[in-house]
Amino acid sequence: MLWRAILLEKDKVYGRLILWIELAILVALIVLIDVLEFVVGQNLPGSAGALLVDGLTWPRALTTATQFAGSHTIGGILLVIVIGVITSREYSWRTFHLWLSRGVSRTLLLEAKCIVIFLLSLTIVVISLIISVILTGIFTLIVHNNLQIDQVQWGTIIQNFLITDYGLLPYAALTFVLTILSRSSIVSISVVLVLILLVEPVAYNVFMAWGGIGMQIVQYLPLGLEYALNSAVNSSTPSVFLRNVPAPWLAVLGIALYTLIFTGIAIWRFLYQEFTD
Amino acid sequence: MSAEFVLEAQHLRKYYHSVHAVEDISLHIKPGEIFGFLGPNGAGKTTTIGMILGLIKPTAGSITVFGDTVTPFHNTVLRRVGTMMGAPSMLMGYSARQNLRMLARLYPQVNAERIEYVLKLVGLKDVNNRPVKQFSTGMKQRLGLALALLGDPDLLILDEPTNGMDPVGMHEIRLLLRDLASQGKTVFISSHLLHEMQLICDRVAIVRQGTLVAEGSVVELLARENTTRVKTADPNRAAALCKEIGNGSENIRINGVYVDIQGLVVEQIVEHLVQGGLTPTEVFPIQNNLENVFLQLAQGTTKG
Repeated sequence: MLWRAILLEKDKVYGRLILWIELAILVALIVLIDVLEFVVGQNLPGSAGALLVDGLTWPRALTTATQFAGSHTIGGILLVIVIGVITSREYSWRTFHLWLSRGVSRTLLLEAKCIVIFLLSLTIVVISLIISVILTGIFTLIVHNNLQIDQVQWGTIIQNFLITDYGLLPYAALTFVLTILSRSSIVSISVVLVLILLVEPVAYNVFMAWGGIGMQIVQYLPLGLEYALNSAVNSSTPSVFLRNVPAPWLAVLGIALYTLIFTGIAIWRFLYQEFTD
Repeated sequence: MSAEFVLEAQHLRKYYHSVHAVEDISLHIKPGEIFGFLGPNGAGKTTTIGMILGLIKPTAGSITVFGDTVTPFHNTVLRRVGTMMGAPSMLMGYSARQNLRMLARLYPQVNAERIEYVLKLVGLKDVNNRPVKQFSTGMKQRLGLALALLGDPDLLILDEPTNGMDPVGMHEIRLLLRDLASQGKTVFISSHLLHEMQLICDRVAIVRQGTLVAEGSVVELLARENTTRVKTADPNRAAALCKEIGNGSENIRINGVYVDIQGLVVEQIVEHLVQGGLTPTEVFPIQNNLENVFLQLAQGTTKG
């Protein structure tokens, strides 16, 4: 039955126009930003232009190919919107009634939803990766006349891919739990977007610069944990806070804990929720 | 719990703090019957159906469907049930066919032919790819019914299935439900359309303020509430004489020159009036219908 529920959820989510519009927006923005940067980089004199072009060509561009799918960039924003809208629709269209009154158990339905939300985050990261790889491959051919495949760091690319997707999970889970609690996409989307675009980055940067107990706390925010993982993998990443980030194993555990706590609250609330007319 | 019943609800209660939405409702639905669940708005019908479908946790009481207990945490037996609760639940951005295909994911036995069959059955075969949000209320009701029928359920639970349908649609649904019952399916239907219910149902229950006020076959209920209309020279005295016969459970109303009497046998009435020196000039039964019975019971105007 779990497999059937997963197929049902997959059909529902991947059949929604909003998802394809969002993916189109993601692709369009990646193309627009990369092309603009490339044009500017080529026209900038000196080392600044060369540095910009270097970041948009292989092998370096491949290690940052999933950057647009990150939790605090376009990918994260689009994921939050699509999860909020699709989950809240289940209440307003009363489709939760439909599945539950057909003998689908509540835990099984939520398990299927969590799996499909994970697939959704994976889709966003994969699309970002594919588009960036194609675009930067073209830039590389224009600049170097070959792809320089022998210099590609495949391990780093895979690690960055996994970190990007893993970093999305706490925010996906938070959006999900807020939608289950409020039954409203407006509430969940606005709260999570304010958090990822404003509260978390500001708090993180201010307290990390300030130091003290504030710094000790904010480094364990999802943003800080994701930053710790990125710092561990990308040794070349410039970091002013590098000394203060948690250990990678702690970052992995912390992100998992955030995701599990948010998902656990969602499941607990959903189990006791009443579906009146 | 007895296997004699397809659906059995025992002493269901649902309280929302001080509001008692459902107060001790027990239902016993037999295989192959069409059971009507009647009551005014806010009587607790939809809450009761929600509890039966595991969507609402009862404050007290138990529900069994095909002998298996149903709660919000244990609802697997509902795979044998087709439901339509209130406004139909469906994915508004999808077509009728897509909605059915989506739900078909839950039923291994449902194939493309079955989907086309139920679409034809409810008269939506030709709507093609129109999204459901463009459907009229009646069309949504038809699709809701198609979704309920998709898994070829043994029990159908329908909350107001003919809401928003035109008379032709209502007639079609009536025939369809009758046909399903003749195939051995059981239908539990809640509706305000009492004329329809009288035509469709084998048995009905009437609920008022969360409490069951009557349950029985339609014939029994109509007979129970039969009214005899008597015309005499002195209606007030006739009413007083009739009150002497009864045990307090009768309902006697003066209606102009007539007296309407419920709960008494015609022979008793005539004999007692004649003995009291009041010869009736007219005595005739008033043809009762479910609407009258419902109104009297639902509004609490009848005793017993």
